[in-house]
Amino acid sequence: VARALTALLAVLALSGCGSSSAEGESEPLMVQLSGDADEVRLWEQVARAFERESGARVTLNAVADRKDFLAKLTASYAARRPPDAFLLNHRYMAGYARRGGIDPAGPRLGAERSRYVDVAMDAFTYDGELQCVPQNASSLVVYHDTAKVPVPPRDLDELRAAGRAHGLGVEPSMIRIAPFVWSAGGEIVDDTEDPARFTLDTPAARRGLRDFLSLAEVGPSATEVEAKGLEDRFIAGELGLFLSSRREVPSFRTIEGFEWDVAPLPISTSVLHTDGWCVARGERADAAWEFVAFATGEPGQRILARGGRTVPSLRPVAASPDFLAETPPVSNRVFVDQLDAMRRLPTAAGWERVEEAANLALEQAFHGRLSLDAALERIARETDGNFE
Amino acid sequence: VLPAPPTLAGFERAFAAVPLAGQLRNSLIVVAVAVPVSVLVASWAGFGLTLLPAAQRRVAVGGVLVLLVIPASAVWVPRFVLLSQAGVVDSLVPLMLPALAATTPFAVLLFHWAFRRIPGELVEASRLQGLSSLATWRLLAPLVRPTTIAVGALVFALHWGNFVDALLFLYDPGTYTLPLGLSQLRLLGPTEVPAILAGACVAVLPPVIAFALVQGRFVQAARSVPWLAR
Repeated sequence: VARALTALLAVLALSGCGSSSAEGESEPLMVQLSGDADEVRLWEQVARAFERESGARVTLNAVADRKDFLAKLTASYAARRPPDAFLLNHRYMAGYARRGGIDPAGPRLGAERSRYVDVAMDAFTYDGELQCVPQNASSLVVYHDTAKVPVPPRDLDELRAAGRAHGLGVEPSMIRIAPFVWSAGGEIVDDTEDPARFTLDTPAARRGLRDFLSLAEVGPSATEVEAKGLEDRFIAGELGLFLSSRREVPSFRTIEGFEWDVAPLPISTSVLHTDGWCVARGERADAAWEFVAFATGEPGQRILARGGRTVPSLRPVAASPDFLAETPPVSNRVFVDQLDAMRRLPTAAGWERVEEAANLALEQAFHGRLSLDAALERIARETDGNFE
Repeated sequence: VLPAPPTLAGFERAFAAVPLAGQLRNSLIVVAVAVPVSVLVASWAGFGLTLLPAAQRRVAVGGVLVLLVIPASAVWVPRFVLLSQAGVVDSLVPLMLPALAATTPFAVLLFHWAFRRIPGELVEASRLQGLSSLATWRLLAPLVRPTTIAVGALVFALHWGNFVDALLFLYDPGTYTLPLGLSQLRLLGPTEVPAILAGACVAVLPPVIAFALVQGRFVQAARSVPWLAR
């Protein structure tokens, strides 16, 4: 027993020493992000390019799922060992900024900020200061199977009609519903900069909600979606239309013999989807900023643009062949045209919590399990005053 | 069900998308250390409980049951702080360390119940022979072999599928274990189902082999210990 234990403890000790850096070497920058394997590979390219240019070392810590990523980030902040830099969706930034965990990017970025998409910069501004630098600026668009829907719908009636004929898929969540509310003249919250409650019960917002809920009639039921997801159904040709952001492009590009394209939402406003690089406050902030400047600058954004997953937040890169020439979709330009026709969801420390509560109620309403009035009442009850 | 023609392209894609080989090696290192240590610690602790006087034993078993109901998420941050200060975060050590506490209190209880089934006369006889507690344990351990195998299988499953600890404590991709790799494969999307399933096959293969190896011994051991049927 003693011999076996000694051997096991030796293995234990060796495994503990495996990843430590050699004496005299500086610790590599710890960079954390979430994304699928292909996206992570692109980020590896960015990290290696940065290493070649700067001589610094970068360890990329990739977490596949967003919720897992946020759990890890929160735990590492709680233990006072946050990553040096991390890629975060703007909707979840405020909580970290409010607690002073982010080294603001505004003073470091300086005059460069005018080259980025304005709405994305607004999304990462908290307490009057730019906190993180947006890496992408995607919008909600209509993916259409060109064999079934060769001409994309130009208004809501055409969208419903095409959906009725060929099927339409859309996920009932706040980030999908918001542009319908805005296009109907309503608002999502009382104050985008400092929200205290949802304002989905105004006549205009209700009009937008009803427009969105009417799409449920031309799409698969909740049970059907449970059995087979919307993305799978669109790829299998069961849906002619699918509302989503840029994230679908790399996956759809791999399908042979499937012709598809994108079109703008047939309503007046779309919604911003953006992730930004944030630097954790601390001794290593200067070194981390070097990486963030590289990743969000032209070299980093060009590598990402060629991968197809993101819409660059830097205007010169978004308008360059690095982004536009990579097809499908043939209508890549749609994403660029929408850069100035988008609005953003609010920035609030408690947004993740209230959004989740609202999504649950809206999903029930979308699938006919809850009336719109009951859903709005539940949203108000569960979220009023919980934004911070 | 079978693709025509059959192909290993899914495996090629899975190994190309995620470094599964390195992750498989790391997972095997974790279970190679954690499973025997867990079994040993659980066995000692379970046997130790049986040696306590009845009143103290009841309190100790109650304490183990209380430990069993504490949610793992409640100790994420304290564990992170402690392990971070110990300088072992970003290595496989945090994934193996729970083995020093038997991995799960349930393993201790299983051994305790198993040792209690052994006739008390055997323990008394060994005491009369002047044997130490450790020597008595060594004498009686073969009699609880089915429990040993069951606990081994249980802690193997817990360590093999341990996603949360790997998520929280590993940063360097070189230290990633299989659950993190599978999580990355899962997000490849609906066009990559063959690669995702290939990754799942890789993850399932070692437990299946381990089960095939010990299944015969488990049945044999169960048949050879008469008081198991009681």
